[in-house]
Amino acid sequence: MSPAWIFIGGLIAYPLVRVLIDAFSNANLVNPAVSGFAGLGNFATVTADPHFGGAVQHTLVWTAGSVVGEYAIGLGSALLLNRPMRGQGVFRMMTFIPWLVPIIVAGLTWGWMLNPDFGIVNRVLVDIGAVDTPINFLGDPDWAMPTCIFVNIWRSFPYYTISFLAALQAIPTDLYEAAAIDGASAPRRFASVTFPHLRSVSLIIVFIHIVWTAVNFDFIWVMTEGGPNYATNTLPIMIYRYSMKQFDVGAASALSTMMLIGTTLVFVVYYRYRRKLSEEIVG
Amino acid sequence: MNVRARRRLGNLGAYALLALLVVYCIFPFYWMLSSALKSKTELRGRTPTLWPHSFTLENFTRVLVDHDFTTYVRNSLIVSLSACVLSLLISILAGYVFSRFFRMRAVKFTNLAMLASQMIPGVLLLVPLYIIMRNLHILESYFSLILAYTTFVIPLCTFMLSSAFDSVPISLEEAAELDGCGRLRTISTVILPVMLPSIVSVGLYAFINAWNEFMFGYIFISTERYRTITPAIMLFKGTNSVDWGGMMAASVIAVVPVALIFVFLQRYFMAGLMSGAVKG
Amino acid sequence: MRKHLRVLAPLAAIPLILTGCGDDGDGGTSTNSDGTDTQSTGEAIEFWTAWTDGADTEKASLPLIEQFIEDTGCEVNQTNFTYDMLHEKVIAAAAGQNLPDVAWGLPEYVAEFYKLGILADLSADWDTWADKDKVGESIKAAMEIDGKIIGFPYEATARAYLVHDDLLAEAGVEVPATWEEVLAVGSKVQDATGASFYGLTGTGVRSPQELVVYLAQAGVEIAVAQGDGLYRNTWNDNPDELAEAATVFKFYQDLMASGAVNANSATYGWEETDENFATALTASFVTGNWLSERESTNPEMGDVSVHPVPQPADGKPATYIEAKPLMVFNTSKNLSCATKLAIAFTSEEWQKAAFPARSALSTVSTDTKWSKDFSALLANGITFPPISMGEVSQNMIDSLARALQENEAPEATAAWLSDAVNKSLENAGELGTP
Repeated sequence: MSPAWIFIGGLIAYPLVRVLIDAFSNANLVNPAVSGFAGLGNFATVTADPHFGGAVQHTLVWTAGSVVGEYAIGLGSALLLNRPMRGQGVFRMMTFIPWLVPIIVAGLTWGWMLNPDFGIVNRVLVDIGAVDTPINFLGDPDWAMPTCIFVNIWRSFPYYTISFLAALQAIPTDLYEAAAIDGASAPRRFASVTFPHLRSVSLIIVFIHIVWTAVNFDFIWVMTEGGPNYATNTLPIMIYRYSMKQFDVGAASALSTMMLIGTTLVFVVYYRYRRKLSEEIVG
Repeated sequence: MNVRARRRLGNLGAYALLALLVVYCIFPFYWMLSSALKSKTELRGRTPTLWPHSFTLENFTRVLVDHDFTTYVRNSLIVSLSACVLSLLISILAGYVFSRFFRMRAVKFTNLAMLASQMIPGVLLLVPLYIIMRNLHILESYFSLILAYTTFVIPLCTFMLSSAFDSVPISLEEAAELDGCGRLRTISTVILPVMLPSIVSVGLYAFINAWNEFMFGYIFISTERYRTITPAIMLFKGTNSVDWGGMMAASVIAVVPVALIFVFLQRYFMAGLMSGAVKG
Repeated sequence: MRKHLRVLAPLAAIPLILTGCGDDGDGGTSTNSDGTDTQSTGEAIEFWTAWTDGADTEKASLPLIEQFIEDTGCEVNQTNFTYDMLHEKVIAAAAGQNLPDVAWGLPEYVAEFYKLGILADLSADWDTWADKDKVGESIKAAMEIDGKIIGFPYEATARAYLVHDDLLAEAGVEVPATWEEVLAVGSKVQDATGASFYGLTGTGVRSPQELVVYLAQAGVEIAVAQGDGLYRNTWNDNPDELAEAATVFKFYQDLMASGAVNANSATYGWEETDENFATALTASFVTGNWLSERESTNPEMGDVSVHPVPQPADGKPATYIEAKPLMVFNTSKNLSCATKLAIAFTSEEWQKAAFPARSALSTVSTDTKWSKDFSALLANGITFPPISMGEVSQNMIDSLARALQENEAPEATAAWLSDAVNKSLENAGELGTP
């Protein structure tokens, strides 16, 4: 088995090592003749890019907006779906459907639905009188990012729901009964019984979604390609343009390295919390 | 009486919220389905219609018969199931090690490095991995995709499972060891059943990730024999026109198999939860 | 049961490849690199297309390819992609030295692929090709780079100004021939019919194609060959050209300000603009003859007439010609079959069957407005210069965003685009000195 382990380990480690090396080298995707040590040249190229500052900002907004929204809707829906009521099985099933829709399909379908001229969403909004003129959701620079976040929340929150639901079901009911006997109100019971039991799963799920969302490329590419006029241009889109359009692997790797440093900081924060939890349990 | 009335009111509110939630979740899928059942003329009309006026199965027959989507669904199932099983096998073992030997420096470092590899956007790896797969001579086969999708998800699967192992009290394991179980047996007979919900959820993630992936699917595969479902759906977006009917029918076909798997697993998932009391 | 086995087989094989990987690296036992076998006289050729799935071109082409295999004894493995997918696959395959033999392509790819050194020189084959005189000059020019022919034109279309006659009649508006007339109509059609009068594509692949036409009508080019054979945008070196280029951006801005176009046009790609024209939400638009296909599903398409693209009153006529090259890759192990296939696709028989209204051959056309009226415009056709278009296209899209979304002064946008194009040419190593 050990060759297999080394092989798998190698496949995982290879990109990481390669990106770190390329970040400091002259590297071209298709021209092996471009080579040599570049020092910090690639980092200079990236930071001098007029779209760099905007992309950093958009990535932060995109990530924070998505994760906060997903968490809120995920938690809310899990609490709802955890109530002992008729038909919960069907409701649960329907809630999870968005997560089963491939990202490119979700992006294309939403893009079509949100079109100002022939999209169903604007049609319905105008018909019920919610808006006077159709909104150009993906074309208006002020709307584009919130719309992308909205669609991403739609696609991603069910994973939170599943995880929270599993954790909620694992809370012993006698804890609630005891709290009820003490006369604790519903918000009180949530704060003192429910939420503490969701801490561990929240920590993991928020952390991995920060990483996934920050590096996600397909969603925004399929909906806006980073437009209109770079209003939704994020770092992964810049990386794609550097590498697949300009073939500048050096700059793409430098930008990746910078993202790596950023997400590693998030990891350090996570790691501290998790160690605390880990030690409580393992002892 | 008062309590029952209040409870009923609460249920009513909950149902209202659930209805809202379901509309939010289901509407795009409903739109796919209803569009897939519309004729070309209706789809291309000036004003969109909320439900099909010209009910037709033409889009589905076209997708399934002319475009051979059964092959693509089968390919996607093979790739996704294999990637799911393989990544579970590897990450259960790795997750156990990470959880139980957490204080070892080497383990800490490996964990960090593995997670760091997740932070590199896949688009940057398209060409390097293409070259690796070529050198392994597995480009035109399921293996290239299985291998790629497995390596993509292993770090996070390991990470999530090691957290799950963390929440299994070590005393449970010690008791089993006192009974004379070896380590692997302890894991498989004592710990895994308790962790079933986590395993199902992690496995589901590995599966969905592979099912959804798009770019590597078309970069690695150049023959229709091994083509997976997402690149095939993209083909409905032609050079000068978009075949919405075909695309929506294909999308419905892409969602239904996983939805069925999900329905099946959900029962399992909940049953597992009830039997094993997991402390969160 | 068999189905289960099929699913399980790869699963069972996984441990094999994982443990066997050490040997695989050496490649000792494997067959040859692209996985094809060599028992027939020539290697099977890999052929990548990008037709619209299920459309007439596919239906006509597949039997022709079958026939070709039978007639020539060349084995052909054809696979279809979208152009975007095809482009990225070629890039990856070039880096991995695993190219197909023949592929469809867009004119925008030519210079980029040529620079990668992956295109076969087909000049000799062109010279001996019987039908070469049936290809117009501008189409042939699109197949040429550095004096070499690198492709056979399997498809060529001009853009034309399409008009919904009924909508214009309803508003009492004549078909405009100049920019000034377009602007004079303003929102008249919109007010009378509810449909936007004119259309423009603010973003996506088609917007540079539109922009390059308006620039040509104003008498300027995006990049001009210099004495050293390299290319350069000369607007910032020449105040007259800069002023002419600025009039184009002014035209775009005036179109928006006058209410002649949909207010959302600035962020529309072809998906939206074509759809709006086909459903008569737009009364007139510069586009291609693929819209003929909408006649069968959209009754609104019954009143469409074909006209030259409106030009400035003091400008010259121009329209974009998209001539697509069927490229042969020089790594092909069976160049003779690959070239044969490229030529076969451009033969009169194949063109008549698969591209009756979009043929590169002057002898192939149909008796409809979609073919005749479009072909009449070919004489004024222009194409992109033979430079790597990837970054330059993006520059052009960005310039439209500056003009239409940021409302930058036209002169400033023109000056910015000039610098941006030269910077892109420099990055690509294609910048010439005056």
